[in-house]
Amino acid sequence: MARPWSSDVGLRREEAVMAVLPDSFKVALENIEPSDRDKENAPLAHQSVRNALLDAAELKGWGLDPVLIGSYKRNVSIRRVKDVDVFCRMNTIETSLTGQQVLDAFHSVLLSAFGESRSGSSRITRQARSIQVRFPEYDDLYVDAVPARPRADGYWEIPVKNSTEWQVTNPERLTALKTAMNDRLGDLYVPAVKLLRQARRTLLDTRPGGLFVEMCFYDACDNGRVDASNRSTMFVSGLEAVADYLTHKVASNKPIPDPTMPGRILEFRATDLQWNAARDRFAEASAKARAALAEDDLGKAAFAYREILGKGDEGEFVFPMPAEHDTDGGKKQSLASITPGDSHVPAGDRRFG
Amino acid sequence: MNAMDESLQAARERFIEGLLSRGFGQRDDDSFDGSFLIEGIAHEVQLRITSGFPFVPPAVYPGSSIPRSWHRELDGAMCLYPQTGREYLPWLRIDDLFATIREWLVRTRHGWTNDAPALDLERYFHPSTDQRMLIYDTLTAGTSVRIRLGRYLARVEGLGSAPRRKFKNRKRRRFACVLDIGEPPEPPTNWPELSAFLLEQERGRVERAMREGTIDYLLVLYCRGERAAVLGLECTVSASEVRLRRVPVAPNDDISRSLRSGRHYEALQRKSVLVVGAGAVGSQVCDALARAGVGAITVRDADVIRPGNLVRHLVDAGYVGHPKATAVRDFIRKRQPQSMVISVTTHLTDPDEAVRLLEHHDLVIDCTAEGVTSAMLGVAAKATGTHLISVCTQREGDVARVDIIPPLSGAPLDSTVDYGEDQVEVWEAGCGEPVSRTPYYAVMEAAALAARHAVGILAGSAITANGSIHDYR
Repeated sequence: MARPWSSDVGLRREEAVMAVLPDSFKVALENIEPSDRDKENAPLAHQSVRNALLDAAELKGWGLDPVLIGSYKRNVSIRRVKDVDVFCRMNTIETSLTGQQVLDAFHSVLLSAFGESRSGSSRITRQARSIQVRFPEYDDLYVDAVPARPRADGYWEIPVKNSTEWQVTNPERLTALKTAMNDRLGDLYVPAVKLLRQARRTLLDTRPGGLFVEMCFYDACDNGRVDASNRSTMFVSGLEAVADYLTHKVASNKPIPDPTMPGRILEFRATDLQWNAARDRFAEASAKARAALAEDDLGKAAFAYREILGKGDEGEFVFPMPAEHDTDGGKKQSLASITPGDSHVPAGDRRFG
Repeated sequence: MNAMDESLQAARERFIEGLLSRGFGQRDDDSFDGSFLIEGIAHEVQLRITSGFPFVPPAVYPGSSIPRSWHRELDGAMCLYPQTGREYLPWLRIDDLFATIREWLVRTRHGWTNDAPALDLERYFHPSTDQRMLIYDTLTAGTSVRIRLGRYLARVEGLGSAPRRKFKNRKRRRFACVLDIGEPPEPPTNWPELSAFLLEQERGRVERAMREGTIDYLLVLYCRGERAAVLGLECTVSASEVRLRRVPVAPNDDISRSLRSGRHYEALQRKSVLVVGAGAVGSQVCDALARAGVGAITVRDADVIRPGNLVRHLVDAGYVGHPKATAVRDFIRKRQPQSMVISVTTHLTDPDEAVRLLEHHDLVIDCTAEGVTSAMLGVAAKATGTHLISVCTQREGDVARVDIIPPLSGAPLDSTVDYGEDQVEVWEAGCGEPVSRTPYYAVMEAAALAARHAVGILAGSAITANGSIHDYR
């Protein structure tokens, strides 16, 4: 948001110092954007699983209507897309069937459809709430097929691990919420989620996962606790928000509300060690990012952002250094450097030719 | 990224950081929004980094609340920087840029009072697709003129009433109305705004002629301060709307043609100069003095133009075989018909004549590089108490020198004669002496040096007392 600039208002030079680096953030986002190959593979894999389920005679009568959900559907995935979630809505399934029985049926259908890979290994894995299908032909992309039955309150239910019970969920609502938040924050929300997911991937080994970071950030945005001035302030204040949630999570197990189902909270799996490590690393990263934002030296600021965002799938740093700066943040010596006030014409001005 | 790309990218990044850190918001990769508080009112502006940055300034657009006035580009951007003074890329200093924008907003609010009288009304009109230069001699407001069209030029031929019907031979001939709008308080950008400066009767007459297609141009006389100018506009009618598009115009009168002659033009107009020797150096000296405005030039040489002369001589291949003196005379007159150049095609061998010539002309310039002629003129100058300029090159152009003989004061310059054995002699049939291989640029340098000294002496401010030597040995 532009502020009035005027010496009358008294905006002092020292108040205004900030390393925004918009071009570098733009390139960083391009570097973490799912590749064209990802974007080809994901729909193909999704369609394969969808067709297999819809064609299965034993599932006819369940009113199957699979749809994409998850980070890929919400357009917050980062490179490389490793898995795609298919939400298999069963609009007319019998209510007497348990979650495990449904998983058994899905397992049988998908095993029959996809069975083994050419190397003889199984492509099908039964998980707590879904059946996972591996696609070697699509760069080892995984599709998680999650069965879901409708509830009277408009939500859905998915199987519970090692239980006949069902668990309430409403994943499609999250896509709509993401879109609304992005509109509300001037198209800055989705890019910030991607950058935070990339930071999480660099900072943490496994859990908590990207969805945790995304939900912390969503809640912070919803409560006006992020600075939506530009991409860099969104990233920095987003890191701070996640760090803050982690601090409270470790200290007092403070929950994050589920925005898709008001009154309910979100639950994420991680060990105590993993929560503690996440708290410490996000705290350090957020402090580093805040210092970078206040930095006058663009090279030093970029060096800090680069460390936080780390490397991409191809082993290259995601965040580019600004022009005329080395990879260690130092300024390059260049005869061609264009500095305000420098003379590039020995004769000066007022020449005739 | 190569070094140039890095420099450009770094300049761009620094500039953008400067904008964002001062409260501007980024709309897209190259556009930024900001606001300036001027006398209690917030003025929104949009700034766009354009192709060519940082070597062109960013385009800054005021909000729609700012009415059109002076110092606006055609696309509405503020005109913030004149052409002079851009060498330091002043817009890269964000604080200075902001100060300039503030000043523009303040001055626009106050109607640009005490503005420098720039004669640039054409900048407020879109260009015509026909970019033939329209040249004119003198124009009188309230008249109609005939225009003859050429391939690159449109020339105002003289007074002529616009025909009653659309002229048939429109490929070669057009007509224009000459209007006078005085000193406009703000720039007109279309026919309604322009016609508002005319009397109603004239407005109606001209508009009728435009709609009937009997006139194709408007030649608009205007002034700013004490300066006057002409705006050339092509007029067409499309869907009942009169459309005006600017065409390039230029005055073709004697005063305009001599405007760039140099600051001593008026003083030189009253002077008479004799140039002895119309070879390579002498021909260029004559040309330089004619362009500078010397009122009467006499050029003397008994030789004729050979094909081998052309690489260094003033004249072109059409003058081979012509006497050098008349060739120079005719060549200069072709470009400057108003100049007085007299040719003499005989050798100067009579010492008495040398004395008379030195006494008659304001200045004699010896471009002969002939020992006897130069010696005779030098003695004659000393005898008559006058001074002459002698110019030559030596050592195949490694030396260019001008001598004032005798010096205005002090001693003459040292000799630069070079008896070096390593010079290769080149001969041409018909020439009794070796051909000098002095290159054209050395000839130009010597001639320019001579012209500079000559103008200094004629204008009463000699640049040195005894001449100059450019020695590259």
